[in-house]
Amino acid sequence: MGDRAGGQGATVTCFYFDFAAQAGQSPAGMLGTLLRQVVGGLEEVPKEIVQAYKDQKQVIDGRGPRLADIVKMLQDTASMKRTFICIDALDECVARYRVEILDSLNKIQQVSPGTRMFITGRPHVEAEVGKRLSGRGMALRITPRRHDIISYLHRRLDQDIRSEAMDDSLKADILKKIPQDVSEMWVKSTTPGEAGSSRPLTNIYLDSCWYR
Amino acid sequence: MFAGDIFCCVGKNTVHRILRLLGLVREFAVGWYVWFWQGYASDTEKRGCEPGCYKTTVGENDWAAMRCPRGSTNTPLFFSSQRLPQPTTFITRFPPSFRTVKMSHQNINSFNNTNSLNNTNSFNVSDSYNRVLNNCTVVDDRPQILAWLSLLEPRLRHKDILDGRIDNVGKWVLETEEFKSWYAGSGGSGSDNAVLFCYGDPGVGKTFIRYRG
Repeated sequence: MGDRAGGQGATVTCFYFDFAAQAGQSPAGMLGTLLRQVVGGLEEVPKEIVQAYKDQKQVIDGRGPRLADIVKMLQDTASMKRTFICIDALDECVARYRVEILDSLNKIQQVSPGTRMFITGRPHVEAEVGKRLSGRGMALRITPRRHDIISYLHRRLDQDIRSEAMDDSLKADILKKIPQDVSEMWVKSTTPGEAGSSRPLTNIYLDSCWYR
Repeated sequence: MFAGDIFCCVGKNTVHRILRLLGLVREFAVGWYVWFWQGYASDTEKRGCEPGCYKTTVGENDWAAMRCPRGSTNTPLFFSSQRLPQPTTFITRFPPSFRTVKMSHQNINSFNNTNSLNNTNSFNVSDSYNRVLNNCTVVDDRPQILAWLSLLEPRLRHKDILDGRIDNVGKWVLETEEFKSWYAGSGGSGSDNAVLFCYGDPGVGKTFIRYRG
């Protein structure tokens, strides 16, 4: 998507939430990162941002931009150029931060309605996204597809460093059984009313396939 | 580097930027910082900086600098120089096209004569006191402002993910009506379908969706 949108002169920004870095991924830090990416794609830094930067230098030791200021700057800059905001793993954001971030994104959307937001996360945050973003969006369930799994398996097999343990028969077996098993697991795990967890059953190999 | 030689460190789009400096593209020049000082290349060091980032210390006897205020009707040339109150360190990020242009003494004229710009590599450096300035570097606050906005570095995570992606894995997502509707709306002013939330259990590949058209 970045390739496609970027090729059309749009600005594509992205942010990845991470459990391991939760504490440091504050709303101001996260949205400041998006703003930095937008500004980085502009010919010149907007004068309002330059002024804000100068103003803060008057404060002892300076200070970072406040969330409200960042939102305002993002509203302005996103209105200047078509902007895509991509956010990965929203569920890995601290819950109280998530509220502030979604509300901030909503404010940006209100002022710059052409801004597109692409967000990924686990199912339990779907309702929160819908609520905080005022029903502006759609939800799309992501499931592994057979041809994707096969592509992935080919890549992993090509990169296998234990080539002595692999032969054509084993390779064919892997390429046949794993995609089949994964598809069956997903049918089971996504069937309404089916007993058990909605989390896909995973074996060790699949864990290594889909988790990095 | 020889004492008395003049060299100029110029950034990306050298010709355009020099034109800015000379006031030929006045409207683009305002708002830029122009720093220049006496000194030598040895003053410039990379230590402690990211790749492409150079740190230079300007001493109290060095010459610096003028700011070209936005909206200024003056050509953003060098003659408002003032002494720095104390040694000051500037950190400048030079783009890949950064290069050094060696100047010749015989070309030293007044900057005020912009018509003397026959060759952008031989523009002349002197100050209003008819003093030759050994070095001049064109920088602005852009890197500092960007760093001020946020110190988080999603680029590292982004690179990891790019390295792990496989072409066309997740292509089906981009062919769904939901995605097309969301993407197509990006050119319009309406906010309907402005948000696409892709959800799924851990490990289904949400992060690694990729399509190269």
